[in-house]
Amino acid sequence: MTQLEVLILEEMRDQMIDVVAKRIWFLGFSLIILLIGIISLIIPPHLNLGIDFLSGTGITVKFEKSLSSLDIQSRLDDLGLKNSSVQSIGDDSFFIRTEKLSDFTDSDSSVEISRNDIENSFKTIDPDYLILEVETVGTKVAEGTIQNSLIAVSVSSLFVMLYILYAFRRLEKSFRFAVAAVFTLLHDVILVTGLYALLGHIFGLQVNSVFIVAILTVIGYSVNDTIVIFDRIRENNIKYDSASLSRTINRSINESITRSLGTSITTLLVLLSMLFLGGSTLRDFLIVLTLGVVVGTYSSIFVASQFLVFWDQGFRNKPDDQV
Amino acid sequence: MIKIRTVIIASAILLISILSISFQVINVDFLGFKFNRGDPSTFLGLSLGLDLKGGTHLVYEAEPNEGSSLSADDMEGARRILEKRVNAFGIAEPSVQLVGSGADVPEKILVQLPGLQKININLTIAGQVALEDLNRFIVDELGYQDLSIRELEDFKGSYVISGPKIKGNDGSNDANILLSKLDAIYPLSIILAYVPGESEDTSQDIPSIEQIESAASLTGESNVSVEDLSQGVFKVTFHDYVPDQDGVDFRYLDEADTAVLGAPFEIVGNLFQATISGGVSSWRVSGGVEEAKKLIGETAQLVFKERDCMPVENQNSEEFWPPDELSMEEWINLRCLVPDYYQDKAVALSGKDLVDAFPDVQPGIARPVVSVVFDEDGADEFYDITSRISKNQDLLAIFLDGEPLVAPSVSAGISGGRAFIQGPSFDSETVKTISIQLKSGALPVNLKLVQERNVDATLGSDSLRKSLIAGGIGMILVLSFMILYYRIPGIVASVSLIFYSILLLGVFKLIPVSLTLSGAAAVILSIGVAVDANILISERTKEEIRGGRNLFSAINQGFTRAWPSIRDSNVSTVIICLVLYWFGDRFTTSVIQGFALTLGIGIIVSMFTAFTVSRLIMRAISRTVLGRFLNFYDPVGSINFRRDEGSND
Repeated sequence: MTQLEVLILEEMRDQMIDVVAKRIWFLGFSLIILLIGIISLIIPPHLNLGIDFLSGTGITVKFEKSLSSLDIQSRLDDLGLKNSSVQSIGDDSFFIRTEKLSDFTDSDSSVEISRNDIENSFKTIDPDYLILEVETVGTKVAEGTIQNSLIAVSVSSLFVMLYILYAFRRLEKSFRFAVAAVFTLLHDVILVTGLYALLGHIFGLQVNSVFIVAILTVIGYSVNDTIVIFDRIRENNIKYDSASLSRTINRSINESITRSLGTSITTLLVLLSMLFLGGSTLRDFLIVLTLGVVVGTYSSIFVASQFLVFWDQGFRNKPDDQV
Repeated sequence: MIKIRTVIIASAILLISILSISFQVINVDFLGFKFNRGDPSTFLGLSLGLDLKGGTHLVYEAEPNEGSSLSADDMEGARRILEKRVNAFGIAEPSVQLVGSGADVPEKILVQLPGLQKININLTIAGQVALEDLNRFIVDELGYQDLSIRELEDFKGSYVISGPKIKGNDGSNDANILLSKLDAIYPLSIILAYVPGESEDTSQDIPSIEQIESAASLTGESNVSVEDLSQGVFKVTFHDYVPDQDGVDFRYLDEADTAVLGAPFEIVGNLFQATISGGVSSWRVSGGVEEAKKLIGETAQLVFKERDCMPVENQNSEEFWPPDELSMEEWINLRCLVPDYYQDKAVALSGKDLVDAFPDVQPGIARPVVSVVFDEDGADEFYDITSRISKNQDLLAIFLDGEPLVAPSVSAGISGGRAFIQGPSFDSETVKTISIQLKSGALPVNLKLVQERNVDATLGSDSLRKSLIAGGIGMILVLSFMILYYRIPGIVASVSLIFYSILLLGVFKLIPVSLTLSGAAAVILSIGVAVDANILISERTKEEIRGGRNLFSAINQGFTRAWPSIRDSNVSTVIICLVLYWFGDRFTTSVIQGFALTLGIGIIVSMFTAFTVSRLIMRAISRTVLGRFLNFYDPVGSINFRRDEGSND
């Protein structure tokens, strides 16, 4: 490699996008999306909670004949199951959600219809139909799920914070990095949940225990992505000792942006092919994950490190920042 | 430097992984070291979780008995009892575990029954029918698919047919059609044994086959065949006889049914014994899940009471006895029947004194019975009670779960501590259930079913197949992207990713880790993590090349510099996995723990492959002719075949 080429490459590397100077736009953008998410969480029917949270019975059936969800709904109405809903999940399969059936020994079961009654009723429309899955969740379990989910998210955040404090201990004000990582993590969780609530209103997506797993995955991905950028900041901070934090951050973002994009593109390739080609069972999970990867990549670049700059210098732009 | 040691270790690990996934079942028994892994029926022999294999997931919540609180010992005791009961199902890998929600004492019990089928048919066939023959007939000849047939261990001649549905090759979807086919191939047959009469009367001689045949024609059945088994023993087979159905899904062939058929044969000679030697004698269709819930969650408490009836004769008031102006005959019948005339007294004998309980048959009793064996103290007590009862002409009242079962009279004190219990509704399935419940003991706590999940195996296998195909396509896309964008490091990363996939499958099989849908999701994420490690390394290497280093040292620097990011980002994800695994048992679903375990393993394996395999291959390649084209290591470097002048390692 000739000296000239090296110089050109150096030059190219310095053609950096000034993310830091535009941080107010990114934070503003995040706030708007957050607001939309929070609004769709606040306005009824909030999140479309599944039986894991609200108790009840969920039945997945597959028919050999092609039927519409109205056909099935009318069967359930005939049986007298009032609070039931039927959702088509493709492949002549349907997800039925209803109150707890009577063959369940939980004491507050209010319906007098058993699984057998439903099975017999369906047999008359299609003798070859198959019940793929039946799940009944009692009230107490449902209450515990919400509580435990919150605990799991909080404890995970706490431990991640402690680890970042340890890993970045050599850095000045390392607790800021820990707080920034957790802020980003919560940002991602709220954003994804809000977007999911929005999609829930439109496509009838439900929140169940799989959603919790998906959110935890998003946390893992978000932290992973954030730390890679923080690691660059840590390295550049030592390398360019005299540079201001905002400049170091801007340099670090630019250096790791191809990696961030590369990783999210590859992850999205797997997720999207599974979403479009895989079975319907994992669909909701994959939607959350896809949202999570996009949001996680965005937030690691535009939220986590900008949070550090804000903490350091507020809205001011130092002259040193101008590239 | 390429370390030979690393090469050897990496190849050995790859070899072990390939071997472990290329054999469906691994079965090693070497010098007392036993190692069994794999499943003959699954993809690569990997063990599948309940959501993929199909099965039942039940969550029970314990409530303390009145006036006491839950203790950890009680819960462990309850768990052990449930485990004993669950093991009686004979399905592979059931699991019974305590789950808590943060309190000191876990208050929930999670029962997982993988592969528990929707339909179970219990049938008893008289005579010796080999399991293989029955299997061949039902599966090969009748073409019933997805059915498994097994023989109950402690009840010979009883079989359990189970499957997702009872569907024959003629499209029939009804258990009763299967029953009628079984009736045709296993017709009812009776063995008649005659002995010569003591009198001179010739009609009391052993009857001839002609006499038996004419008697057979009197039964009203057509198509009866008679076989002379010599010395007064005949086998009569009723080919077209269909026993009365006792219910839609239930029938039991008892003496009342055969008495009509047997009557003509009693006239022709001195009939010593008539026994059913062939035919489907009992049949019962039940939902597997319903049976499971019944067996698992309900207690079987056996209570003995001494039914102290008013005396037959009362010496103190002979004139007014029997009371209520009853005749002596009526009095004898009623004194132990009308609650006013008797009193049930508690005795110092209960189900706790049992050492064994098993299904059994007793001569002269049509229905199966439950035989019980008492321990030494129980045997003594039992002898005392039965002696007292026989002397006073009282009864021994037996209750199961508070329901009166039978109240037999006793003719003499029973010693030895062995007895049997009969009940008016006993069949082979109920005696089995009661035996298991009695043997496993009473539960120390009350259990309430709070969550239930039944997954059909087709749902899981279908989604697994689709997910695997989709995952494969995703993987190909990722590899294409890596190769097109990162060029040589991309090819290396691809090889490393394939190595990673094989290694991960090997680890899953050897530990073993059950593959679940949430686990599959974790695998997707861990592929992302594995790719990420390679991307970080490739990016760093590229930077070092642009910084003017020669290839070999750029590769070394790339790995060294990428390490802290890979370490810190992955350690934080592993921390989350640990937290989730730790918290996972608070959720009454194994989804979260399965996810955490799979992701954790995936991340550790990905770090290993990135830093051994990728590095090894990168270093090796840099020494070949490919090492001369530096631009092939840079995504934006132009591809021309210009030699790398800086390469002087």
